[in-house]
Amino acid sequence: MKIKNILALSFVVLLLGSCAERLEVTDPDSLSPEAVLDEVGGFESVLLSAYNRLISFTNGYGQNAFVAPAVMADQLDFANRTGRYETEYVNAVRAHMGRWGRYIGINDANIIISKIDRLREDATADVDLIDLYKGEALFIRALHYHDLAKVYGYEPGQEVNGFNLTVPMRLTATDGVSDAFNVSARATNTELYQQIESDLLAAIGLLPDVHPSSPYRAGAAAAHGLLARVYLYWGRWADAAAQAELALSKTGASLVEGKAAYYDSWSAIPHPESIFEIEIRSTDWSTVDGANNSLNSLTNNVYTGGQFILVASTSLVDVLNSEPGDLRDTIFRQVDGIPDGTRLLDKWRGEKGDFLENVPFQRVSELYLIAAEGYARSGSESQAQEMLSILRTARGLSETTATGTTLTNLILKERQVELALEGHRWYDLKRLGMGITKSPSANVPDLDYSDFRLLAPLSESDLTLNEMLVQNPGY
Amino acid sequence: MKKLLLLFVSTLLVSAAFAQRTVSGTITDEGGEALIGASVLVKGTTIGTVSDIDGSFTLNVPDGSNTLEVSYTGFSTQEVAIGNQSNISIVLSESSQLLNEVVVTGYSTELRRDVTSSITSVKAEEIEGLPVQSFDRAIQGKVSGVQINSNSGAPGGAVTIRVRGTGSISAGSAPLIIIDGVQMGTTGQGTQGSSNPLNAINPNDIESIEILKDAASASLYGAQGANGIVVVTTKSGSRKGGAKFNLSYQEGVVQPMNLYEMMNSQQYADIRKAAYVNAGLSEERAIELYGDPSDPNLPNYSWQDALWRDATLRTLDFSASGGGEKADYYSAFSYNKQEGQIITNEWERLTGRFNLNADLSDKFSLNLRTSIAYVENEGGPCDGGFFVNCPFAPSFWSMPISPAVDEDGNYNPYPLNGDGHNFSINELQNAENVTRRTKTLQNITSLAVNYEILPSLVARVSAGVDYVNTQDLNARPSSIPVFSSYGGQLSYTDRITVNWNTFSTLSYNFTLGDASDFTILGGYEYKQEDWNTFGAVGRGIADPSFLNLGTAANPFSISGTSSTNRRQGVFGSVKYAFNDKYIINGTLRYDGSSRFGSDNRWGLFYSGSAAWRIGAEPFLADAGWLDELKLRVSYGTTGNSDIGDFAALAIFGPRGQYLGASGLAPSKLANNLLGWEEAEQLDLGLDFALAESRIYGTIDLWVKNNRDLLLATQIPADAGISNSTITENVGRVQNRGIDFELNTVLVNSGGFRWTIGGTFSLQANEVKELNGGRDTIFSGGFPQLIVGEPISFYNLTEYAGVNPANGRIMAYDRNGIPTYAPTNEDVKIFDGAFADYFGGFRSEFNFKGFTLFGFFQFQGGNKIFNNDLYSLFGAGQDSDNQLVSQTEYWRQPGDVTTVHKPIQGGVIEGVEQQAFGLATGSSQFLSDGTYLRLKELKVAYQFPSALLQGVGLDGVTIYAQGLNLLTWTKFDGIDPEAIGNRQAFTGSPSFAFPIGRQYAVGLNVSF
Repeated sequence: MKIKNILALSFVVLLLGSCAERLEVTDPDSLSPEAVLDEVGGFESVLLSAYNRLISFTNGYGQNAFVAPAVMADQLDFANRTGRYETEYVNAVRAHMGRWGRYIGINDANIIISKIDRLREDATADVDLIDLYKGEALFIRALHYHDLAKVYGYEPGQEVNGFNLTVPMRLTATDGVSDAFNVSARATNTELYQQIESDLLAAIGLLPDVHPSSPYRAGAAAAHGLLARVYLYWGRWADAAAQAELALSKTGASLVEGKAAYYDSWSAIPHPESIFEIEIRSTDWSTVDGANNSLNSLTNNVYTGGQFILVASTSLVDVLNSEPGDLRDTIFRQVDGIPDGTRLLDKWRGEKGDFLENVPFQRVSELYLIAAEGYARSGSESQAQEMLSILRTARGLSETTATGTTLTNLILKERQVELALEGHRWYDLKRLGMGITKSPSANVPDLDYSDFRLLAPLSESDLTLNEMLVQNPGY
Repeated sequence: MKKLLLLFVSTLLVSAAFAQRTVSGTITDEGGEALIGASVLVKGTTIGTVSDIDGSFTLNVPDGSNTLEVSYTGFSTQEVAIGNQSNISIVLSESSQLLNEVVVTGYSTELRRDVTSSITSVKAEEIEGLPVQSFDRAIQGKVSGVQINSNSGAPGGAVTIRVRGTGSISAGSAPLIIIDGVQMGTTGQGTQGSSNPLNAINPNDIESIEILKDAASASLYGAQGANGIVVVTTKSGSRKGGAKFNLSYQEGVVQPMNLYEMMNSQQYADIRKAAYVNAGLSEERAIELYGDPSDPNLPNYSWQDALWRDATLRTLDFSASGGGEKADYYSAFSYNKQEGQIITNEWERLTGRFNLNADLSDKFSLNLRTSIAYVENEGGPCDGGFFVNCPFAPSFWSMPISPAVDEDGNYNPYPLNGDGHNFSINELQNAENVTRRTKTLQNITSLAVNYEILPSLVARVSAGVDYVNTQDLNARPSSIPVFSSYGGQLSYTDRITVNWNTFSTLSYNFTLGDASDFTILGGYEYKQEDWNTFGAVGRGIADPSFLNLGTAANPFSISGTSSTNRRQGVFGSVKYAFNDKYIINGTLRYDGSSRFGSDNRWGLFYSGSAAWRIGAEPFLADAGWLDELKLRVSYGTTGNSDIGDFAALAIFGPRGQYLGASGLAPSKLANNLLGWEEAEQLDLGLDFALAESRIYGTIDLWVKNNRDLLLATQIPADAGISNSTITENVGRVQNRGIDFELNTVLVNSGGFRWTIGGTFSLQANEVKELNGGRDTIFSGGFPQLIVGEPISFYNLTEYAGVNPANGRIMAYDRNGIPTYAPTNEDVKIFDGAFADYFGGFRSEFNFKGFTLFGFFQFQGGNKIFNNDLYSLFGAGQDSDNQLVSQTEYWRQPGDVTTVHKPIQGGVIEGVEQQAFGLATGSSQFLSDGTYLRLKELKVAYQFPSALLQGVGLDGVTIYAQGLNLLTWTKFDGIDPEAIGNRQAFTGSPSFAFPIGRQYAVGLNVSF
């Protein structure tokens, strides 16, 4: 019995001793920041995450970035009313584009931008890869900040009542809780545009003209293309035209020619005109995202079970039909059961199967349009006519010799048709201070440029967490 | 042990005495059952003996002594005059249950009279035979201070238990549940329908449930004690009287109750037309889509009739128990089947149990408890959201104009006409074609070995495991249009949780002098919980009947994850009782948890308590009416470590893929300072028993402060961390309350017995302080915690009615002026979801084998925000079917109504009608959650034993019972109970699955 007694007690002691270190555990599904960021491959993983975030349905290019600017202006009508986008369609107060979540992508980029240079101290480090990833990160940060600037603030020079605030800038990685609460006030629009410009110029210096994974990852051509767009919003017309020309000279993509090729280009993977295209795979989606959230489901009737709620509005169809011979009418399809005068806009086809498609962020046709507008508004009308004519002839229309406002209006008309449902209409009207025209079917008046609904409300939760933030006027 | 000691002592004494005469006899209880080990003492001497296995004793009584003193634990001590008898039959009657009830406190047991803390016991008879799947449902309203609400009325659905309020927000608030020494895990349950980890235990196998409510009783559990402890003890066999068999069978029905009344087709077509016209859309289009409201021949389909049903329930229980001198056993088997109120929902369970207590030698004994449960849950309604993939919520909003089937019984497309709706899911087809199934296999086993080093010094080593394996299957056949694009899909998830703990204790009991009794307990405990899941998805299923992954044409995706958490601690307690009147108790525990930051991993918890048995004082000795009067006071601390496994670590996790390579991104920031949430509690209690325990009860006043409250506080979104919160210790919340329990035997004569009893609890909750001098913590733009407010409140706009002039909804702005367009600054604080009071009361009549039992349960003072109304009370703004009340919509200026002007899209002049475009709702949908419910009503008849002995049966009882028969409430939703506790703090549930009304008849046979 004594022995058993001792055995029992030693069992207790044994348990005590053996368990002392058991409280140190690690998460089998995660890594520490140090483990990720001590080699260039870890930075690439962060970069891939940043690219992946562009596909968000709610604040990214998976859906909202293309649908909302069209439905909130005059490009889409309803074929089917399910409640979705109905408040945006009538510009209900606060029914707007939320882009605040983009800061997550910005932090991904900030991690790379602010930390990858440390690896250069290692003599064996692959400097080309460090340059490449840093350049891509700068491109992604610029992309996000420009999208934020478009939604939350006025473009420089287009302020209403002098309100020139845009979003706060975060330019360093959030490493710890104190960084997270290290908040700042809203930057001015000019400060932010300068930052975007500087990021893109830096990216251009680091990136090869065309990324080895082009068009799915950004090279210098894509950075020039984005910078051209940024200058266009900024009203720096000549710079916009110059950057568009640079982008065109560096990209491998070119305009497709002819009606059939144009039609097929929207089923091609990648789109042959893409300078930068966001790749999406089925594993990026939960099982019902295809039917629930895809551009294809919302705007097309390819798959059973899709929603098919939005069609090209009567006003967009009228613009298309204003010039006969436009070969783009091949993707404005007449189908049964949609309101008179509307068309199914056959851009998003789910060509990768099960509602899935890639999303072109920028195509060469936009570069021609930017160049044309940049030249036109900076007094170089013949160059403007030349650039616009290249696109028009590719789309079955005549060359143009228009000048003055006829020319700039023609460019805008061309943007409406060419870039329909690609996330431009609302911003084109806004950046030019034009106010928002509405589709007649929406039964609501047009919005004056001074209407407070031109700007989105800031995240209410951040207003309570950061006392330096001020809400946009009117909210 | 005491008995053995007595035996030892008395044997010595007997051999030393010289005999004058020999007296023998038997000692039995009132039922004639022999009492083994009863002590028999010759009064005024030290001569005595104990009764043997037949209850017999033999004693030499010296001359001059004529009285025996017979005592037995749990029975009143009796003095017996010997006279000239040589053979005496002694019948002992059970003493007050209150005083001698054995209370299981987890690591040890105590007699009720010695308890210095607040512990409520529920005995087997209060939970047996109820047609519920888990014991938590059976003790609802029966324990003061413990609020229990079903989360879901689906069979086997989850239940919320709160012991003395909700003291935590981001950390868990559920009590620790210990079943036969095994600390139950909370993870590992299936996801295809609501489920409850306690389904693994057949309620009929339970002997007693002890709820440890105050810090003094729970602090021995240290890090897990803050939310109270529920200790469940399963049944043991009896060591006397041979094998006993018990068979019970029950069959019944479950009926839906109080479902929403929805519009018919004409009403629906009318409001849709109005919505179209008011939005400037064409009336012709509305009629084309929804039909002409004046057409009496519109198809009129009731989705509720198609999807709800009167369901059946059936339970079968069999147990065999018994034992001998050295061992006892209890073994049981049960089968339980309950259909859901929603078609195709079916819940089935098999349980088995084997319990063994055995003396291996004089010194060694062991206790083995093992149970296994297998649960299969088919088609459990997914509740708690606007889910279209389950038929529960859509049974209300599906369009009445769109029948599920055509004349030949084939499924119609949905909707047949009208705007797209429900993602084109025909909910009848969905219910019948889609498979959602969870299979759960759960084993709970514990083994304890006890070793008596000395009679007063006992070592105990116990180890237990709670193993859960769940398998979820979700088959989405391509026959449902929305799943057809990928050819249908099978998803399978396998989840294994192994949760084990072991503890070793050493307890020492000794007496100093005549009156000082010490009990010292020390121990060590280790607990580890590991879980992992594996899932696979296949697409391209040739036939809906294929349910195995191997039939999928395309492997689509795989998933898998695992996690772990560990805890260890040492603990000790000292109890000192003086004269059986003054009792003090102190405990200490030092605990560490892997979940906390490295700088704050360990916590020290302590308690002290004291009791004064005033009733045993000499000055009350003459108060014969007073059986017990005990004053208790306790104070102590406990911890709460119920947070995420890796809450303190900075983490980079896998985040999506791009071009086929996986991404990594920061998912969480580090917080090394994260530490224990600590609860300190003061309890003042009074236990009383009067008039031969005809009236007994207990009352406790308590205050509980949760310090260093763990809260997932929001970080600024521009920090760019995808997990937008960080768990922090933010402040202090106080719960305080009164728990009251009273039981009385009103009549007990002539075979007629009438007892009534009840529990009543009052509770209040308040945030006392927030760290950093803040007075408010915000989340999502609205206050989440405010100093001076409870942790539950609603942020809402204040509803100001519908303007009769134009049919628009108005809210009062911050100045009390009605507005159409309130802003965030106009949002106000409204009373929250916590009940101010709750409880239950029962009444039982017994007469000659007949029993009539009724039990009412209630709670009140809580507000419920009824989110269901977002889709059902929308004045036809989209194609969801509406409540019949919506026919009262605003039509023309001057109409006074609560239903606004119908408008497609719900926006008038830029303002969204229902929520004003704000992230909150309006107080329009807030209603009073107070209810009183006739929870149980039972009529039973127990056949007289005389009648049964001829056929060899010990007992036969037949009964009929009903559950949830009547409800009184002002709540405007379906079931105020199901929705009850579930609305966390500022949120609110949508479509909580209601509980049903149950009727059952049953039979118990024992032999």
